[in-house]
Amino acid sequence: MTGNDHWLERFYDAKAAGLILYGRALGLGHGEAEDVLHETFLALMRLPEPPREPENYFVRSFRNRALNHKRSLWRRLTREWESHRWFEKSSEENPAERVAMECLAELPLEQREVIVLKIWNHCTFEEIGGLLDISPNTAAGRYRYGLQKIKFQLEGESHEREGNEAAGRTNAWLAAAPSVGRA
Amino acid sequence: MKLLEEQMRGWRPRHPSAGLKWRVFGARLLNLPRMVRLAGFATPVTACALMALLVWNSGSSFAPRAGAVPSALAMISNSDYAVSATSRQSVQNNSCAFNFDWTNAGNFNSNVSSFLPRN
Repeated sequence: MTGNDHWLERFYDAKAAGLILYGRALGLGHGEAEDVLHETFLALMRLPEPPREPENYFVRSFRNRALNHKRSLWRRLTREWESHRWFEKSSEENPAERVAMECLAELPLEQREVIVLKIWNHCTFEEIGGLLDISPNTAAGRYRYGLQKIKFQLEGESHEREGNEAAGRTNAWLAAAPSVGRA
Repeated sequence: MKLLEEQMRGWRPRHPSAGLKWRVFGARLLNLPRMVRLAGFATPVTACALMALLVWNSGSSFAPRAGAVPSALAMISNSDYAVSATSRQSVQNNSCAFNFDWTNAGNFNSNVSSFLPRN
C-alpha cells in the first residue's frame, strides 16, 4: 500500500461512522449509507491527486451522492424495513436518551443535518454554511432550534416519567393504607 | 443546552459493517498499480523464456558432446540419460549393458514359470 492508501485508511477509520450517521440524517438506511460511503471512497481513490481540503470535499461528495441515491422509489421502500437505530447501544443509555435519539431522527431534515454535521462530524457553522449554501447564522439557527426541540422532548419525557412515578407511589401508598370500611 | 450537547456527544454513531472496509480497500488492492500488474504479466513470460533457453542450450546435449557437463533438465526428463551421464567420465555409454546385465546371467529364481513355451 502507498502512503496515500494509508492516509485514506486512517481517514476511513476516523470518519466512516460519522458519515454513515450523516447518511441516516439525510434519510438513507444504514445499508444505503454504507453503499454511498463505498461509492464516495472509490471516487476519491480515482482522483489523480488528493483534494486540497479532503474532509470538505468528501462530505460534499457524500451528500450529493446520498441525495441522488435517495431518489429511487424502490430504495425508499426497502429503507422502511431497515433498522431505525442510528447509534450504538450503550449499557448506560437511559429511556430519556432513547427518546432523544428518536427525536433527533424525527426532526426536519435541515435541522438534523446540521446537528449531525456539527456534533458527530465536527464541522464548523462556516463549513456547514458552505456545504449547504446557507449563511453560517442560518446554520447556527437550525442547530439551536433542533436542539431545543430535543430538549423539550427530553424534559417532557422526564416530567411524564416523574408524574408516572409519583402516581405509582400514590397508588402503592393507597393500596397499603387500611380500608375505611374495615377499620 | 450545553449539557444536552455534551450528552449527545457521548452517543456513539453506529459503526459500518466490517465488510465495508474490505469492500473499499479490497477493491483498491484489485486495482493494482501498473508496475505490479506488469510484474505479474512478466513472471510467467520470463519463466517460459528461461525454460526455452535451457532446452535450446541443452538441446544438443541429448547427443552428448565429449566432455560436456550434463544438463539438469536433460537428467530430469530422461532417467536413462541421467544414469549414463553420471558414469560418462569412466565408462562411455554402457547403460544398456549395465541395466540389463541381470537378464543375461541366467539365474532367474522366480517361482512363476516363464510364459514362453519350453522346448
